[in-house]
Amino acid sequence: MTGVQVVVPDLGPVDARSLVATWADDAPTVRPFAEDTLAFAVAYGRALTASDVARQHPEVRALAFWLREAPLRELQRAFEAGQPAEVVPSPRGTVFHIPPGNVDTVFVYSWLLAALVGNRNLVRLPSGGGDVVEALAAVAGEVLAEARFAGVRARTRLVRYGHDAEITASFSAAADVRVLWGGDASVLALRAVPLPPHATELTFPDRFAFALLDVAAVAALDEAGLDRLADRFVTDAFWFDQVACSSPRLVVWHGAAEAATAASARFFPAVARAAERSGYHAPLSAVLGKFVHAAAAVIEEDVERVRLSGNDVFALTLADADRFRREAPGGGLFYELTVADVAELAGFIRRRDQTVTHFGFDATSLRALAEASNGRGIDRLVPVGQALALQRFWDGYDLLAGFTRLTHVVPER
Amino acid sequence: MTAPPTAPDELLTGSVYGVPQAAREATLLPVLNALTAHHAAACPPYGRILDAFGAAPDAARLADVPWLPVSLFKRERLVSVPDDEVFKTLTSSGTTGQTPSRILLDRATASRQTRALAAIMTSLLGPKRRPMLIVDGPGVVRDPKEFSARGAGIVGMLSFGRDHTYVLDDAGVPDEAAVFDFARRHEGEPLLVFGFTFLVWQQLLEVFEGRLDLSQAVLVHSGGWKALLDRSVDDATFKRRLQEGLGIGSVHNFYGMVEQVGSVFLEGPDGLLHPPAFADVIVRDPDTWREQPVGEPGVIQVVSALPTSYPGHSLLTEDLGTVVSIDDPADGHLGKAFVVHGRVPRVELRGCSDVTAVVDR
Repeated sequence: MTGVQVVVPDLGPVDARSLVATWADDAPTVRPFAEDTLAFAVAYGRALTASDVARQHPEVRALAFWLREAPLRELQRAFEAGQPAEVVPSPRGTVFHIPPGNVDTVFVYSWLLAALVGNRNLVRLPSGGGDVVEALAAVAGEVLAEARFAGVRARTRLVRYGHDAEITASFSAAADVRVLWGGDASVLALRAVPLPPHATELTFPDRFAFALLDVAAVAALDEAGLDRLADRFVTDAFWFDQVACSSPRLVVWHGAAEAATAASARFFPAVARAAERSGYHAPLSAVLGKFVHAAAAVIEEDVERVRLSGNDVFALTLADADRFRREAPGGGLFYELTVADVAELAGFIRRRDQTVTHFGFDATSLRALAEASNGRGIDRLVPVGQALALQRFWDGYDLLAGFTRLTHVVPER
Repeated sequence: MTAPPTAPDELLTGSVYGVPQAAREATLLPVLNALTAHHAAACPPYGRILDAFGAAPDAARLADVPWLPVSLFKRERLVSVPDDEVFKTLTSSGTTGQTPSRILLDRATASRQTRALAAIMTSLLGPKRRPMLIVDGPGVVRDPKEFSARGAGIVGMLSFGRDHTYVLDDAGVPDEAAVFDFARRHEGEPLLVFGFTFLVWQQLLEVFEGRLDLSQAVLVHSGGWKALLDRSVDDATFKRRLQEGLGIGSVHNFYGMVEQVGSVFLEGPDGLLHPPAFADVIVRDPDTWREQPVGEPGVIQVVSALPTSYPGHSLLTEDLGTVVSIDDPADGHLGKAFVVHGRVPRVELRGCSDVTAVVDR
């Protein structure tokens, strides 16, 4: 069995089994938020900020912005404060990450959140990742080469290998936690590969997201306010061509039908202008795909109206949600639906629904929606503009908790 | 159900290439408007699409006739006649893994397509059937119920030739004896050679180059340039090598699609493609979707008076092209003259899965 390339640290080609055989002994885990790990994260963030790739890619700038000392210390504080008194948190051991093929920065979040709580990390770099993945790995390699990060380096293996089930099986057999990101089919296929009996698994398959906008709140906005909302919406929708699972593909209007129509008629053109301001330009093949999708949706999903605001924004008005399939091609195609009462939404929510971006709602009504959709779906309700903000809580998981083992310590009284 | 318009049939009897643009538009517009109304009534899903997009059913100009994206026929079964009148289903060959288009024909539409193709080909080949060499295998036309685009294309052409001789045998191997026999039998006679562009290159030119004299032949070919451009063979190279290697001086490409069979755009002596009188081409700006001026490239829309059994009279293709001139009488073809640049390049969106970007709080 060959074919594993260890990219960071630069160890070249190795045998998969020998890579994991004595790793646990050679590179012991460390305490959560160990100083060297935290210092590495901050140094990595600085190096990214100064890199060419950050200049070209806003998602890399966002990653670098997260990797600053203050937010990381705050993460540590929240983690420590959240532990019950009778519990000692510790790392789970070896975390094997399989990040998604096409969303460049995910592997860094997955890796660093697990590293911060003390784990060893084996990360399979996405094969089709392209320049951004290359650059992110290269910068990580440079920073890890510093002598003070020898420990972190020993606990880190960023690897590449082709579609080789034997290698995946070997790595899985050595994992205490396996993290799977990707489309439903690939997650399902990978889940069939056995893990050790004690190991746990976090899966991040295909999901759906929508925006929930209060009609009255949108109607109350002046042009400048509307533009600001549209800018935030564009960040959510277009950073990843509207194909990120947490990017909205549906806008739910909360309010009276007629007022919703008027708000929508202002909102989507504002989104199109904001998309243009951001430099977004849907590729022509995607625009042609949107025409086909929109026409088919009229027939198959009871879409009663299709409005174009330029090529970047197609708005498809659903007569009702009965035949809505939660599928959209990306590249700026938005379904819309109007509800008079947020409570109506509870029956609409499905397990696939991950992110709701909201505008015009108070905490009480948001918590009421979370409670009303009890167990059916919705993992996050975040303000418009924060759909892509991967944080500690994602897909219904507390990621830090997922990478942590809790030792229950009960002293004698 | 409304009766389909009869005007399309009348358009088939006039001059194919002698109609100037203004007259063509004046004739086509009412026919296409009638087709829009007919399909909206007879094919409810089409009617709903028009309503949803807010398309005006009565266009004031040819460029205002509402269009469907051609790939919709890969996803939807769109038909404007009762099922028992469907007489033939055409499917596109498509790329591997893609769903093919399904085009449903009744007898009237199928017959109109046949006559349309005849009018076009007769103008090139004359009324007399020529001995015909088909650059394909006989298997491609065997199942007449459900033709592939390639099969349908060949079957449509068979009636312009006689002594049909296939270049390939059933195993897809060039049948040299059959080809040389054909050439001997018909030495000095005007011939017709037909095939798909890539097969003409690979199975005729490359196999028989320098060994076969087809100088009396007109070659009609279609199917797209992608495979040849991958080998750095462009139109000029294609023609030069056919001239040098097989003596073929008369080479005519055509642009057409299974979604509008019969209304093909044939290459004239000027090397440009020309719409027949019962069809037209509109090149659109891919940002505004307005009609492009002459000389500006854009996305090709094709309109045709032929289809009454399915709503395919106005289709936005996924091809790029440019109208080069209008009513340039240089080679006797009036109306638009255009070139096709190829498919719109496919750009993959970044792909699904969870994302990241942290806006910290």
